[in-house]
Amino acid sequence: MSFRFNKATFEDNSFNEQIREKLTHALNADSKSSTTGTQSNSANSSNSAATDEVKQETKAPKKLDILKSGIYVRKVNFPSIPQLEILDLDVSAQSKSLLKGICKISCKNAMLEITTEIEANLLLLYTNNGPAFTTPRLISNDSFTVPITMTFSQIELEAITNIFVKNTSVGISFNDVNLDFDFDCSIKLLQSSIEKRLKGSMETVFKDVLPSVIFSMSQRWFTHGEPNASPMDENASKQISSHSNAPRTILEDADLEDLSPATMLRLSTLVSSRQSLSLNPTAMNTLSAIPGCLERQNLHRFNSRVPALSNFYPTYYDNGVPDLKMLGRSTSHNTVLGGGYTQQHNALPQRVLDERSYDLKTIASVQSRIYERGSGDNTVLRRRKIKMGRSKKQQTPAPPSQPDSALDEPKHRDIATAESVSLEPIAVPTPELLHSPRLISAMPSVEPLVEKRPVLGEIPPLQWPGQAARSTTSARPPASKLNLLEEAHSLSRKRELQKLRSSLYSPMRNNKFYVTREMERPILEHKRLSFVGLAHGLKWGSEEVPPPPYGF
Amino acid sequence: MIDYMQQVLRVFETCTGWNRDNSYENITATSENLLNFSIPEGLKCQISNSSTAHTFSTFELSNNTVINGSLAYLYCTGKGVGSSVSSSRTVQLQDAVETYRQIRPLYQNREARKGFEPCALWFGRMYYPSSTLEAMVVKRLSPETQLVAKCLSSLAHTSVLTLYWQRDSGKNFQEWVVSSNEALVGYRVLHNFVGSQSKLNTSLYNNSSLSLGAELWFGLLNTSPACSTTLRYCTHSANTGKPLTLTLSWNPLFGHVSSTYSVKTSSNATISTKFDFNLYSIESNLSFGCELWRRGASRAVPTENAFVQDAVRAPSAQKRPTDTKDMFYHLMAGSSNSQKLLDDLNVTFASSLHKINRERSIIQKFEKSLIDSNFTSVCRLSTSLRDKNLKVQWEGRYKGFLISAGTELANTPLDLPANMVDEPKTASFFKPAKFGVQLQFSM
Repeated sequence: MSFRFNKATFEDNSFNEQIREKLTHALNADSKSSTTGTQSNSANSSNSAATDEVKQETKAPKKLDILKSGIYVRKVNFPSIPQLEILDLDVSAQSKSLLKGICKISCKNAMLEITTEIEANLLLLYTNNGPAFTTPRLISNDSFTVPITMTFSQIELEAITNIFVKNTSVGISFNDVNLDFDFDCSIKLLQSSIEKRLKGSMETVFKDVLPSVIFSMSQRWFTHGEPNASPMDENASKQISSHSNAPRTILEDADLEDLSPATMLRLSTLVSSRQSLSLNPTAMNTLSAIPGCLERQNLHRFNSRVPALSNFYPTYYDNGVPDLKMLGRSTSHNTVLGGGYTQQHNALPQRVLDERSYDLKTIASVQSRIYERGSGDNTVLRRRKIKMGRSKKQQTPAPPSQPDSALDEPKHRDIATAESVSLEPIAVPTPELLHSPRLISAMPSVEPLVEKRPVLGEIPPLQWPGQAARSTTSARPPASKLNLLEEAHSLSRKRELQKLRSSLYSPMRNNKFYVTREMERPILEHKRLSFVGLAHGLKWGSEEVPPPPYGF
Repeated sequence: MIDYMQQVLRVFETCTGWNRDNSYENITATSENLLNFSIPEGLKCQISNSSTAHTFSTFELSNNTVINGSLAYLYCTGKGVGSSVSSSRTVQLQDAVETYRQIRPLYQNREARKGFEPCALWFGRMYYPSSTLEAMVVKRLSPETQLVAKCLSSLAHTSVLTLYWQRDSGKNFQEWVVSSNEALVGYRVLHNFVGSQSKLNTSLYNNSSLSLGAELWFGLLNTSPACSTTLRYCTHSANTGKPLTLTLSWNPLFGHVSSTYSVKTSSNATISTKFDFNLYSIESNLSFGCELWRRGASRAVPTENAFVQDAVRAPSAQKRPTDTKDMFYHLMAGSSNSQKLLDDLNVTFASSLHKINRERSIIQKFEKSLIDSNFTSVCRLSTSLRDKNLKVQWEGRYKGFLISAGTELANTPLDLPANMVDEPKTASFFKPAKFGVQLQFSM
């Protein structure tokens, strides 16, 4: 069981606007349903609670409605984020309830303004509602509506709640409520009495009204809405539905079979971190708190550090702009969507090629790192046989903007397909001998290349030509594996995944696969996750930049 | 349409010399009848009978969402009630429907109080299937006082008892009301200013009356007060003899001022307008209502002609003392030689006396034409600017049945609670909010 507390919802004003809309809707909905006379439904806000009090006091046979218009919530202002502190959490309490927890909710300095119109001529209401036979007729007894504005400022709420999440609904009970607010009414005559009644009716609001409202609301979510939608990420679920036509990768059974035990261990570590709600990985500046596991939020930063040619020249890489923009704390839009992950191409940007500002040495080191990463895993490298003639077009995952005409020009062909040039030696028995002369002979007039020629010679020649070919393909496996992992979370409601989840849960319960420090190290060493810090200085060189701190 | 039992009650009041119009509750009855007439809901059938001279019964069946009905019995003591209550076949339509209330001046009501004897009226109505009981007792204690007790007992509703103690001295009317509903206590008073002929008008003949009334209410349980004061002026147009009524009401508590002007423009048309204004919220409302009467075959043409001839003959010094006596009693009152003085005056101011006679005859002619004309149906129309509604009602007699059919066209459906009124505001055309037909037959 995982849930997402989307903090971003509270950070902009749309949150306040959302509350205002919902509150207006709820308040007016209850006045519509007031004819049915359900008191529990009605007093969602303190205002209608007050009118309920009035109604009860008069003991009128029919419910008197002194409201002459709908209730409008004019202003809602929650300047600070409501704080949710989880004090206790019991995941597997019973078979019926999925989750049982104790939370502390605190909210400070909030402001609420409600406007409505009330009937000032109370006697008119009574005479209208009384039986006509025995009610004397009053002359000139017309209605007199008075607009009333009530402002609740400096609302401070602190409550300890018990939350039960079941298969069908969410139950909540407020145990220890401290509510304090300043009340200001536009009719000063009524202010003290309304305030007194409000404070009196607060208990029923928190004891009966709010729990029942939340219960019924959550029932609607669980039955009609997204199965795992929580109140907080309703916004996100909306986006899911709006993007539902986008193609998605669904986890197949076959994929699960391919998972190595190491991956399973990582997954279970991740799951255990979710269960204990130690959400440290969401903190800034740490890529991953759990070795080998990556949070969805950090995926972009991870991608940016994956050795690839496109990462090396970020300033030149025009197509990578959206990726770079989404660096850092990504929004819910990105975290939820499967399509949020954009595949990176291991290719140089067109501009780099046009301006010839590349450095062959760095390219070589990138490719070698790619190989190191790819070959480090247990997977057996599949050697790819590439024919000379068509390899250029196939093997260059050129940026979409790159025109084909670039290949026609002989000069550009050799430079632009710097990596594809390296493919040629596969078919040729002596690649390094043939390769370097060809480069020189092909473009003797190009000055930057001439300058780099000596550098070119120092490249470990046997390593990179063949592996570079693989690296273009092997750059994908780590990424696709991460993709897999992420989809395991984002598509958790799929049937296929139930299997995976059960298989993940069971080792946890048996304490068999508990991940310990001793077990983590060999995994990491074996994996040889060598990330290159690209974020600072954009320096990529032969000097060994230590991998970014993993935070463990 | 006035219920049969209500008709019996009114007949009882007239027979015991009680003036219904001389109460503060009915001070704006004319404009209320013309503007806020009640429209029946659903189908309602009423069969009534006067079994003896003192007992009356009504059976009612109505189909408003569910079929329900009521059974009512009435017993009253007092002379002449049984004979005065007419069946639906013979009743005058203007007596069977709520319409323009003709206020008669104070001095014309004085003779009715003679020969009073205490009498009472008991009324009970049982509704089914809701088992609600309505009961009313009207007791005439003295020529000037009356006690009314109304009671409602039901299972669904709390039982309510309302007591009215009314004292009508002609000039002043006082009323205390106590109701168990909300513990409502009220006091109403109405004062008629002296309506003698020559005080207020240059014309010697004066048929106008000026009344001022006030009411005070206080609900003890909900501590909500209410009060209002109203001025009413009724007169006849001197030239045409058409009656008109003006009222001005003011609610000092909520700053509500409403003025009405109702006039019977001809014997078969009545127009009423009402203007409401709130001093505090400066909301205003203009209401307009009219009713049109249709005559059947006239049966009173000869008497009308006779009256016209009578009016023509009047100047020819043919004094009819019985007729003029009540007109000039204030001049005659006092010494015995006043008759001589009057004769002198008659000689001296023959022309002005002629004028008095003519004015009076015009007014009386108009009233007589109203009584004599055999109205068969009335069409009512009422609209209000603020409420944006249009009420249409037709009431008439068909084969001995009194039929009332009406509908209310409103911009917003009326059965919705007030909170939702602002939501379907986009609907610009009128929708029928209410529709009903009421049939009434009595023998």
